[in-house]
Amino acid sequence: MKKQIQVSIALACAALVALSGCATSNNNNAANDGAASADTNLVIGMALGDLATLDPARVLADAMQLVIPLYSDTLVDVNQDDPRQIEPALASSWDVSDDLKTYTFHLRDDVTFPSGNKLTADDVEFSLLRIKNVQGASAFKMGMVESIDVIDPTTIQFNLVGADSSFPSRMTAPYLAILDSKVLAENGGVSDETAVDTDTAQAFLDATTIGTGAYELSKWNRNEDIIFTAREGYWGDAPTFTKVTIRNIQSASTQRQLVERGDIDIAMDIDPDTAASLKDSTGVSVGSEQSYNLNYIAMSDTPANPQFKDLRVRQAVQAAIDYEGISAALGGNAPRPAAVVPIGFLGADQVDPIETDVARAKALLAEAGVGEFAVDVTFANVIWYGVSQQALWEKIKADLSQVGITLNLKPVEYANWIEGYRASSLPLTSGLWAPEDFDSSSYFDPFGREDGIYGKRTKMVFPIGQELYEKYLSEIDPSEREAIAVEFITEMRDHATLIPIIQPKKIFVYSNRIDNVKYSPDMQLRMFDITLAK
Amino acid sequence: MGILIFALRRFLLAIPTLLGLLIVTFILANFMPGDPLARLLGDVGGSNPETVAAYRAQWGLDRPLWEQFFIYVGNLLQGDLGQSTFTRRGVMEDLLSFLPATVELGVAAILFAGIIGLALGSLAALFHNKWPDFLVRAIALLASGVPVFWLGLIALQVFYLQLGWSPGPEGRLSSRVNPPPRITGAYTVDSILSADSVAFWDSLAHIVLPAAVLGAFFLGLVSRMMRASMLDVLKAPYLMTARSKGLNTRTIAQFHVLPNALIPTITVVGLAIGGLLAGAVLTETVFSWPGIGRYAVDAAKALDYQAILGVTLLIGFVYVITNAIIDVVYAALDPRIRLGS
Repeated sequence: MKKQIQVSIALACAALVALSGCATSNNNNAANDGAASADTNLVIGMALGDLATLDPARVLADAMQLVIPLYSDTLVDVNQDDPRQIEPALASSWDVSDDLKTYTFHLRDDVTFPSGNKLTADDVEFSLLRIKNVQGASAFKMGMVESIDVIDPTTIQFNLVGADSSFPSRMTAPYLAILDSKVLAENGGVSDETAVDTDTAQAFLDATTIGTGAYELSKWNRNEDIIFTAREGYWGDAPTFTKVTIRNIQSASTQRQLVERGDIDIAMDIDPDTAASLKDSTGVSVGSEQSYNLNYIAMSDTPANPQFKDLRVRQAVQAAIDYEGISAALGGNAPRPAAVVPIGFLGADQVDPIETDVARAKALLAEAGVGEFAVDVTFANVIWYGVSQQALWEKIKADLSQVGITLNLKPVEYANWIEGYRASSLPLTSGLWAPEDFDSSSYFDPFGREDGIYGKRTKMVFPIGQELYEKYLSEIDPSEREAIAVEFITEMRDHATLIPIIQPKKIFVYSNRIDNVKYSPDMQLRMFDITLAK
Repeated sequence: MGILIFALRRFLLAIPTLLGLLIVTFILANFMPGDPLARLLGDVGGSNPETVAAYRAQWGLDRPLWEQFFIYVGNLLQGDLGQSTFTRRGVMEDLLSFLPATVELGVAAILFAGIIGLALGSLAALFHNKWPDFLVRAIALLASGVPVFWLGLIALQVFYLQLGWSPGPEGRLSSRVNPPPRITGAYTVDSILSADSVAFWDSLAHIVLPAAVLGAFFLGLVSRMMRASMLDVLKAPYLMTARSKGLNTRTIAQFHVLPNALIPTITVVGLAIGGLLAGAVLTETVFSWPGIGRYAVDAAKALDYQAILGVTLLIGFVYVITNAIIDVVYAALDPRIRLGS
């Protein structure tokens, strides 16, 4: 027995010694041994919990906004400094018909996919029709498109259901990624109307990236990390980092620890309190930039609380909230737009928001004659871009109690909340909208029309919204568009059904090893601008 | 009763338990409030009634509950646990891809807690009411009394941030190390099999702290149980007989004390495996460990019924089968059990 144990220990030792000596014979990790390779490897820590697939046709998720542009491109792109400006990407130019119903895009002829196939108009048609017909979460992005015609290999025409001056802006959404149609079709991709039942390409797209982007998927270890490597033959400028690793780190405190110790380069989900505590830290820098994300509250017409049907009650709620106090609790200096169209969007900067005025709120309620009343507030118990919805509602509850409105807070899971919100059964709740494209129409459509998603939910959006929306889409002159946008936003503000609370800042903490870490309106992070610190 | 018949009877008895588990879990999962398609279709996509209807039909959610149940059981018998509405992959495929990480962590935790716990328990019993005994009892009390997530955070603060001895809570490997080729899915094992020393040492360094944290509760339990049962055995008359026969201390310890003292300890080990899986949910969250625990949390957040069912059945299955095995081992070690006396 004793001898057996001794022999086992000796064998185990021999195996470990052999293993130590094998480093040179194994290539798997040879590339990681040198310091030089660490320099060109960028490691990002963020919560990847919502990354269910890499198929752009299937799911809308925060993580996908960062991931999709690594491996694919869209026809046109937003200018990172001013996202209202549209720039060429896979399309070098585009024309529009006088009635704004037909858009023709001219493609670059020097773009290839990882397979070596050249980008053609067929790829654009296949990719975008597939998104429309798979009927996944991103299908609504193609809602305006009636049909697509391939004119020649580098020219493609979109025929829209109506005039749409914002169409090029809509086409910048990262989900409208152009993929290699030949490879996609060979691996279960279907673009015709049967796609909702017959498309089986997701498993393939989760393992292989077939876009025109600067990177290719190296490995996706679900729930763990996703690794991209720069690819040969990319049509744009070669990226600074040859490898990008995004690690799934759920909590802000863990991300903070890892970035402080140098184990990750950028922590993406940092809340204002953590950022404040890192101000004096020497090894890391804190970036805090204005985002385009908007946290709002919504009142709906429900049997439980008919009071909200009265405009004066809604305006009283609008006037009773202490916006300054909410902003101060979140690090201060966060702007607040007048309506659910973020600052930075056309027209939003020119309409003043309603100021806090408790006396006015009380007067409005007295005029409405509703007396004191209570409301159940069901909301998603989440932290949206650093804003804890629980903390937000605690504050609003205190504010509204001053005017005789009692809130009963009911935090629930996201999926339970969205079900109630969709069913129009929540008299008062909060929501968040992070834009994928940067024309004000992407807010007018869902929030400003009776037939828009939120118009249907709240059942209280003003009737002239549809008319204003069509007028806005039919106008291409920039100053005229702006005038309509200002009118629209003013109407939305005064109707007081959806009240913007805060446009939070995007905070990241990054290692001093890197530089030029900036917020990207469409990607969250300007991945391609990050450089090594000098 | 022979040990084989006893084992057969014990495993047959596990079947109704598993069936009960299946029925209760299925009903509970289907009566959870919330719409599983909410997360899948997003805020905008899920607002289109046609899209929602198409997806309901696609996922079989438009059928009556009893029909869904029989379809589920039929598929289950063929090893198909349905499709996750969140990852859109087979739940079995998901479980198989996340299970190795949890098994790796769990085995490391059991090894850590088992070896150290048995040693500490034996030490305490041999030095009954002396300082080593007091020390072991204090360690056991602390280890089993402290909540696992708190212990995880404190361990990271001390061993990662302050002392720098351990890698951070970044999962199973450093970002600059490539994972070994997948053979078993457990990085420590796969790196040995593929002779990748860089990955081996890195994965070993990453597993020590989470395994110790996860195993802490277990360690307290094992050492206390071992101490108590060893104290009982040390007082037993057959030890006096053994000593009077002139057997040396080592023979007595090896053949008389340890086997007898291990019996109750093994029962505790079996029962603790369920607790270990529950603890894995928290430990995996703290250490960003990509196992079943993380998958379960994500599934619950997304109201992914099929995945929640799959994870619950898996944990239940492991628990029931482990208990059956422990009963059989117990019977093998102690003939009184199978003889029914």
